[in-house]
Amino acid sequence: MSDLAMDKIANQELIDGLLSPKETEMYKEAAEASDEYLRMRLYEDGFFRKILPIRTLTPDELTDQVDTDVPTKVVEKEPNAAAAYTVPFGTMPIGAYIKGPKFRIMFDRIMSRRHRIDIDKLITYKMDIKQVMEDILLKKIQEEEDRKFLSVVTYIVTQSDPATHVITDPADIRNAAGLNGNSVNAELEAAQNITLGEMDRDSLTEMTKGLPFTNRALNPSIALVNNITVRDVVKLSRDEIGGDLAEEMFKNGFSEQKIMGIDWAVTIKKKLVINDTVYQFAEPKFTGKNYAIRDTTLSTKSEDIWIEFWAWETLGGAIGNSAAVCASHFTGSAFGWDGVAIP
Amino acid sequence: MGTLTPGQMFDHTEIELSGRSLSYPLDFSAPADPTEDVAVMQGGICSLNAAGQIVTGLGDGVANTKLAGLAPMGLIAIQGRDEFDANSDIGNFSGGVQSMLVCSGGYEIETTEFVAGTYLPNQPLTFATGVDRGKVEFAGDTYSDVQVVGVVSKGAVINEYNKSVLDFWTVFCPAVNLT
Repeated sequence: MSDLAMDKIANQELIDGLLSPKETEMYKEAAEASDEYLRMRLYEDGFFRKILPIRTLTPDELTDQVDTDVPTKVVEKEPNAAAAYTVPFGTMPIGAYIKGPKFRIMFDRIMSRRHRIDIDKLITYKMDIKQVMEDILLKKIQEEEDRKFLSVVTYIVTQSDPATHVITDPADIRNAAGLNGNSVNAELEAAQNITLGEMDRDSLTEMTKGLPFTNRALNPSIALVNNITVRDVVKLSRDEIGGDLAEEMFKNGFSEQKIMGIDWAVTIKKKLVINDTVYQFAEPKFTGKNYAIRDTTLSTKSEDIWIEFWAWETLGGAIGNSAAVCASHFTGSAFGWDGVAIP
Repeated sequence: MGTLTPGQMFDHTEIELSGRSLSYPLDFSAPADPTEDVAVMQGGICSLNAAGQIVTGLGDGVANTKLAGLAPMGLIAIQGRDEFDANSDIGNFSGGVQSMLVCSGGYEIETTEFVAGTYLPNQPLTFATGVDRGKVEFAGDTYSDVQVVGVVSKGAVINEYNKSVLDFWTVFCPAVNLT
């Protein structure tokens, strides 16, 4: 039987199924649908979950709050200690008190619109339109996750002068290069948002110093770049990135892989990750937490002549360590992570 | 360290006494105006500015009388601005949007956010201004001079948490007279 015939049957089976007494079905993820329709754009899984893997919490892992019944989880941070010091014999240590900082994770909900269709119009589609829509809705939800995540990242890397700059507009994500660029965050003793000039071996190497340069000395684990800027990596010569890698990228283009010891995540979301920009993140255990109370779920319902479905999830997360993120822009004049121009 | 302090959950409340369809309410979500310095409380009255952002009441310094070319729809906040699902500590991914019930919907609301006084059934309500911005108040005898957002149903009572609350039906009638 052809794919078209199968999909038409799928539409009819959906109606039959939904008109049965079981009105609501939950789906964890959508499967690939037929190719017998014209695809108009490319969708991708979110990069947020690659950078901060998600864990689903059980209710008993939440932390009760006295002033609200909104779900919250308190996470402990690694404590710090004053420096050790030298003394002569017979001297006892001075006192210190143990204080472990904590931070809260708040949760909210991301949802799609509620999509509906008359059951007798649904049967006219030859493709399995509901399956296709499910797949798209899940991708759209992940896109919103990515936007929220990158909004926080941008907020953090532009905080070298928080008194004069507070990001309030999501569109600021696209303007980070101009916000407190090349200036040092006093708390971390390093810049977190610098311009590096044109991309070449030297500027790429300088880029990787971003996280280690702070006084917390973290190593970059994953770099985030868009599918346009990554082509500038591909054009780098054998001398600049090494023989085998240059040859492979010339033949096959860029695929997500490890370069200079860092995993590269490539996104097509150019409205979020702008051209000529690379974000770097430390390992998740240094960066933050990402929790789901309910991971992405699809609610489907039929009532009379209508079939409707919508997707939703309840997520919460935070970047708990401002030294775990930085942004590099391969534009303008080259600066180092100490905020000083590179001659 | 937390950077956000919500009120106790019974200090500022909004309860839909009737009219809400659980799954299909006439609600609306929008981000808060980042320049707004008076927080919208749960149950408070707010509206949208020209950028589509939430402002408390009608916004700072805006009178509740006729506005040329505008009919600022009253919106009743379902969450306060600083509640954890509408806002969050710095570093969190959540928050940034508040939800509201639209006053043109058919709801009976019980709210803590009203200007103290005596309220009788059938009295029209409007946006309070000045220090009471974010609350509703009696619209006055010439109700067509101001933006009407509700009509008192049962008046002010003390609720089970010993808070004074006002019950009213939502309606919306923009000011029509130049005053």
